[in-house]
Amino acid sequence: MMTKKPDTPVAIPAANRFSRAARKKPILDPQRPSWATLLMFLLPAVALLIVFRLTPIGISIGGSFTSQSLLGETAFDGLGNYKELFSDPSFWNSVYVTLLFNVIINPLQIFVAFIMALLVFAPGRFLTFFRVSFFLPMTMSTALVAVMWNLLFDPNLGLVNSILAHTSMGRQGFFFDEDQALGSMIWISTWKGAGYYMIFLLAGLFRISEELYEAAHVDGASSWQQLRFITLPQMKRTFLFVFVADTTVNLLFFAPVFIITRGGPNGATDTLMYRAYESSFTFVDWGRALSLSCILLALVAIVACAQMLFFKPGEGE
Amino acid sequence: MKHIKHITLAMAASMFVAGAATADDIELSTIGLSFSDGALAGLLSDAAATTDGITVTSEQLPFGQLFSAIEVRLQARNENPDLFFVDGPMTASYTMRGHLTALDDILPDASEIYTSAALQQGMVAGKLMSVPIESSTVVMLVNNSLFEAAGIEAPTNDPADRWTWEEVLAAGKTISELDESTWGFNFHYSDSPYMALVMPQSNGATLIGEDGVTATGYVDSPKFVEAMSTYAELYNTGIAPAGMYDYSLALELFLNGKVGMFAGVVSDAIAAEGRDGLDFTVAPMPYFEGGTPVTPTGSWHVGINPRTEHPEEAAKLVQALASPEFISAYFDKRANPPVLTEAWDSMSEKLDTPLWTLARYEIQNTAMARPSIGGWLEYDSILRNALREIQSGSDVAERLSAAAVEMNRELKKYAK
Repeated sequence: MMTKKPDTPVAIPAANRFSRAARKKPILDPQRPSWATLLMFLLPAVALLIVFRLTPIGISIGGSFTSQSLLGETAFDGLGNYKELFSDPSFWNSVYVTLLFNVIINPLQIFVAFIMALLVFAPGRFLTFFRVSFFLPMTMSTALVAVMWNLLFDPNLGLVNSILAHTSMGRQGFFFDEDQALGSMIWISTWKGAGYYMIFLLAGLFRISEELYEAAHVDGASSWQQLRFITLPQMKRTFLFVFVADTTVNLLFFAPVFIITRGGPNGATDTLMYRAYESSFTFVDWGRALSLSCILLALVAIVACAQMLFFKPGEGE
Repeated sequence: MKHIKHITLAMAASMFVAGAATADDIELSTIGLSFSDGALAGLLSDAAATTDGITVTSEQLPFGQLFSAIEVRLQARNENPDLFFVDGPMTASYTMRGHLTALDDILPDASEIYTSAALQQGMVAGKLMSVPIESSTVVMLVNNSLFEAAGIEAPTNDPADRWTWEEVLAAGKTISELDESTWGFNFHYSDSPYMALVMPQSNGATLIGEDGVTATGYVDSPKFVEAMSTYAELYNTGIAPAGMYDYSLALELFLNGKVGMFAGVVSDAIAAEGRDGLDFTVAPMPYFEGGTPVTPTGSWHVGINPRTEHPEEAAKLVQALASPEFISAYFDKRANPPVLTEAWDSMSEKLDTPLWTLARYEIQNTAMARPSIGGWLEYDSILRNALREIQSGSDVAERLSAAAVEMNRELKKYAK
């Protein structure tokens, strides 16, 4: 005869709590852990999340509704910071630049990363050399990359222009040219970042079962058909992660703008992140800086949610 | 046994040295500008050693990061740092935001001991808010070889024969045509208002309204625009290398003999003296015909955080930083014009050269400081962006007009 399991954990009388029998009782019943047990395990992570993530976000949101006097006195300002931002044409230019930058760089960077991943996925000679070479730019600091490409693209003494001067293209302005500055930023960011995302995409490629390709091969599927009907659908989860991570990083793109162009020429690289920095540390306007941070936060959240909906894996993927 | 003896002696010696900074010493924290050899920490420690019971921890940051770092610390509005470096024109900004202590009681004889140009940058509304420790002036370094190759007579170092900007443009154009990698002129800090503002100042333009917050009508005035059109001509016609915002590269270009005329600070001339094969002389900064000779000047100061927990010790350290001994030691590490009037005489052995004679003349006769306004940081940053864009070919009048509107918006918080 089967005995029914009690719905609640058996309470151990206090007197017997340290008895041999009580000690044998597992602390955590894997099938019905108590709330206290769950809390015990979750608390450290939740506490860290609250202290280091949610509290700063809360402070930023609260601070965006305040303004500071020159002497540091904070006063509630309602939507004043937001109203001022929304009526400023240069703010809308920053929104445009940030979105344009992301619309171009995210697909481009992931496309390049995926091509690189495919190239180093197939067995071949010097595979490790190419994998390391593609990943190497990622190991350099962003500041160093910015300085290096700034020197290479220098309009007067840069190596790239020294070469271009001998071609029909002639010298180019790159960061110095209003029409080329954002493109140059996209170039250095892709140069540095594509290898990083290649690693995730490569891991995704390794996850796909070899049997699927073998079956497709037996059925006479071409390489393109294998890519279209096996690789891409099976990579959806990996693409989702890479897209969300890449977009988040690129929406917060900052260091090369700060180091090379400071938002110029003529606002061509004036991203929201740079504007937030400038508002806080140059213009000493913390309320506006926090409002810009909140707008960026909202933008990141909206874009990430949209990407998750768009790339949501279907049944069996 | 002998080794043990040596080790014991070494330990005793190190304990003795360590004992120089006792547990009772008050430690003052400072943030300052980093020198290439990291010498500032030693200079401050030496100054602290002349006082009773004070030691110094020195955080040194490059110019590009110093202002942001100081902003972050000061905005926390706590006792850290006890003292900090102040760029002269920033004195008013820090004062208006309650980040500086008045120093009149600490240095009652300041008006007698400091040079006028340096002292003025530390004064706000008649009060001494920061003490100068070094000042600067700009001279024009002239590459004689390039002038000779271009067949032009080079300017001399006589202020009476000061060149006009029109002469600089003409000579610069000829020199820049010598070959593709040679330029006629360059400013060391080409995107910095510190150097470029000398042009509208020389052309008679006023840099900001009397209220210190109105830029429209000043930054975009006809005289300002006219002067900056010459600046644009320098960079847009290939006379000067546009887009060279790496200051060490700009200096290196002159030191390598690639620039005919180079507006640089005194320490640039000293760097040039050490470069083999470079035939150069110093000349006074150019001015606009019909205008006034003006040279840029600036100074680095030290101020006391009003929230320091050690105001007395901070005051003692400031007094030590105002001593001739400190100024002389500082000069040996960074050869910029001294801020103590008497140092020009007491250090005459070091300063009796054509370079220092010219520098002294300029400081006494033509030096014009940047405006002392609460929003200098904003003014400087906005104008710097405008200068960069003028170099890249923007319309001068339109860009300055846009800069003025931006300045109005950012400076209004300083309106009284």
